[in-house]
Amino acid sequence: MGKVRVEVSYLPGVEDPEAITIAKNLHILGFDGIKSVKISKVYEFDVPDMKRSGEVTEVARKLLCNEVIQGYNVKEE
Amino acid sequence: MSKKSDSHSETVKIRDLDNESLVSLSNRMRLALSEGEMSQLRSYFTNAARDPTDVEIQAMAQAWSEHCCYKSSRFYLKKFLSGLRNDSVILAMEDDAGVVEFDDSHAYVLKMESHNHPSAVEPYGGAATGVGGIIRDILCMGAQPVAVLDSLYFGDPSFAGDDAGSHSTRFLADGIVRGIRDYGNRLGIPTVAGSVYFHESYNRNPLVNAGCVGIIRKSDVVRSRVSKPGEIMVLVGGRTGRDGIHGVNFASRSLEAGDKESSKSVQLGNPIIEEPLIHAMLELVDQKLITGMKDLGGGGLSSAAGEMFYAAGLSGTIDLDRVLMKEEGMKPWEIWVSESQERMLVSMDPGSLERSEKIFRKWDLDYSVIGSVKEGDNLVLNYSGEKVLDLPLSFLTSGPTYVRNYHDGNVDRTSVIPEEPKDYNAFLEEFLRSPNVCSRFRIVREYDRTVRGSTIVSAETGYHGFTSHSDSAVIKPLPDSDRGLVLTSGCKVLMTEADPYAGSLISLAEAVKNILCSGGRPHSLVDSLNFGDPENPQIMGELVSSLRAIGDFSREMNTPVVAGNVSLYNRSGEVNIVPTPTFMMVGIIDDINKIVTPEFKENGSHLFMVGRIMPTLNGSEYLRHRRYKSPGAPFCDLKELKAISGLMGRLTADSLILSAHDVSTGGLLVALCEMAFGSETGAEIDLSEIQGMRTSVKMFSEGGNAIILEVREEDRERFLKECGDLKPIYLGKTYGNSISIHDNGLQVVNSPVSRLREIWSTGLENVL
Repeated sequence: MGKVRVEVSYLPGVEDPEAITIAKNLHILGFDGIKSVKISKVYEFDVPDMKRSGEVTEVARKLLCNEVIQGYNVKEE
Repeated sequence: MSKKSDSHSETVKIRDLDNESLVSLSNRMRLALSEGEMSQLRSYFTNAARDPTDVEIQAMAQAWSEHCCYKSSRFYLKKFLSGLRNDSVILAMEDDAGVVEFDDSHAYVLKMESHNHPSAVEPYGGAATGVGGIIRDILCMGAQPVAVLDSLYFGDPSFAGDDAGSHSTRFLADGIVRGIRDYGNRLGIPTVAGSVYFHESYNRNPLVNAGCVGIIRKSDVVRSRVSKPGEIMVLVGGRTGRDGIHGVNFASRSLEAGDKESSKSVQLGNPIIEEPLIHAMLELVDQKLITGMKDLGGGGLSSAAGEMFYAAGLSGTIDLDRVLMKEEGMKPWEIWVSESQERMLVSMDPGSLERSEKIFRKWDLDYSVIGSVKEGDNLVLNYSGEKVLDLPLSFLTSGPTYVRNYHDGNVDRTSVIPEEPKDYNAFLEEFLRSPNVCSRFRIVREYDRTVRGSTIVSAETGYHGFTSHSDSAVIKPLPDSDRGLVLTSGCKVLMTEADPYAGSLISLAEAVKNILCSGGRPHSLVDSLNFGDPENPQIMGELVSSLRAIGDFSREMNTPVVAGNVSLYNRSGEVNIVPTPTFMMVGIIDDINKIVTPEFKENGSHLFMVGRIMPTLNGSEYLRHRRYKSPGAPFCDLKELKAISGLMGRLTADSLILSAHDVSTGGLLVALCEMAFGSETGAEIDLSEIQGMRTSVKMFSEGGNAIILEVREEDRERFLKECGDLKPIYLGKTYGNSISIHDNGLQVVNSPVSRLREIWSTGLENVL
């Protein structure tokens, strides 16, 4: 059994209001050492037959991410 | 292009270019300008004996885009829609939104706009910023936004996207609804009404039309213009970034397969900034600290600043390096045309700055003074002391006007009547489940419809546990007045597809009926006109026909058209969308205690129909469901509609009707079902009094002025007397818990309301 991890994150230059709000509030709380925050989402898939791990890439491209604003990274473990 | 080593702008050598090179320059710089427009620029700079900077050429492209200067539609807009106002109008077609009298001391502000192209490539962000933008359009008149409406048009629910990069209908619909939900709900402005329609022509080009209504004291209306030389320009709210660059240029061409290039044209919304922005702006208005205000939407700073100066016959200087930025290294032209969201530009007397700054700081908003107002015609932009743009505003705003060729399509005046369904009960279930007939609960329940506490009727209505849809939403905008705003928006897509002129009239008539059925009187109108490629004469013909219909309707019904928006190039590949003029109508109800809703109120009361049913199935959902292509739409009888309008006013004032619902999508049968769904009560109906048509036509015809009314036994005589010449048709009684329909002695439908309600309520869950 193999595991496939897909990380979906915003492309560079795309503003993430959630991350900005977190950073801003961290500063209010006094964590001045942190300059900015990036958020991404990780999906983990159990794939019994790793020969079919390509399906995960297809899922990532078609369903998990909108390539206009997001990128994805597939990692087999 | 050439650049001096220490310069912030580049010189674009266009004087020496031939026409072919001009076109390739336009493509390379993503200007979306045509060969003719580029050569107009070339002659201007040849006369001026200099080449433009990149800032100047980008600013021109922005100002001359279809989105900003309406070059394809302006001529016809002027021809058909000028002067459509009455005494209640305070501002029409002048500033960012229309302003109309609400009561002696208050006005309401309204506008609807499309956000189609962005939503096609990034549905969540596109739809969210559509909502944010329309709310700022209302806010910039100085008004408190009180309600949002959305008319959405999606592709065939089964469309699964394609490998060229088009998203599936499910993905688009889901993203768009979430975008509207997250933006509207987080701002605390209720999303109360609208429409949803599915049609395969929207497969790759969904439409998002967002409308907003606000309320304001008449004396507080802020114009979208500066007032006098010496004032300062302050940019407040969100910072400026590279998001949304070239958005308007993008919106002014057709979508191409896999439009990944568009990523930078997509703006992402941040409602957490817009919420305090609304409070701060309203405080500025309240304390009379500003002289003019405009939101930054399509075209960004370029459009907003230019228009604020030009509308006042003045000019100004803007220092681009004083604009607060999200990221480093932005070029001056990028700052000028960026469409970053949540920004407002205000003009004020320098003496008001200190008090304004306190308000900005209180609401934790970024702001900067970016320029000043001066006499003269030339707009000047500086960046670090260097002049990067110096152009007459009269030239910037002199965008071309195209009198595009059009031809009126020949409308087929025949009629199609399919054979009657063998089993009406089975057919009714299938019909109620279909995506365009079933309830919109799956979508509207995502939205906060009651925040602000002024929603009297939202998109849902009915007794506890028995929910149906209302005809329009009712908002009580002022705490100490019982006067209400009645809101509706939509388009009868199959009718406009069959005949853009007649279909537009029917769409407008439906808006009127929706308001009448809620107890209101139609008061004013805005449009959001979505059409395909205007360079195709047939599509242009659709637009012209629709405009002609709006003009005719407005004059006949004395309903002013106070603002509007045109979205063209809604085309993907070879497929143009069907003509989709969305109309948002606002009505007024003098006393919200007289509101009427569609659900049956009593068992054993009488059901009448006023207004005629058309003896045709053309343009009906039924015909489409039976897979027939519809010939031309029926004509709408505006004289009859006017009479019904007067009658409904009298009936509502005398409280003579218990419930009312217009015959719309799905026809009489669906209308009766929807009235039953909101209550425990069914109906016993006999259609025999409707004469001269087959049963299926009686039950499914759309496009007439018919309204179903529920009347108490003791009010029957008074009701009939009030109706006079309109001679209502007797349909039957509310009774039991089934929908039973007879025609000419035969029972054609008999189905339990609870079963039909379950099918209708969950229809959309099967597709989205």
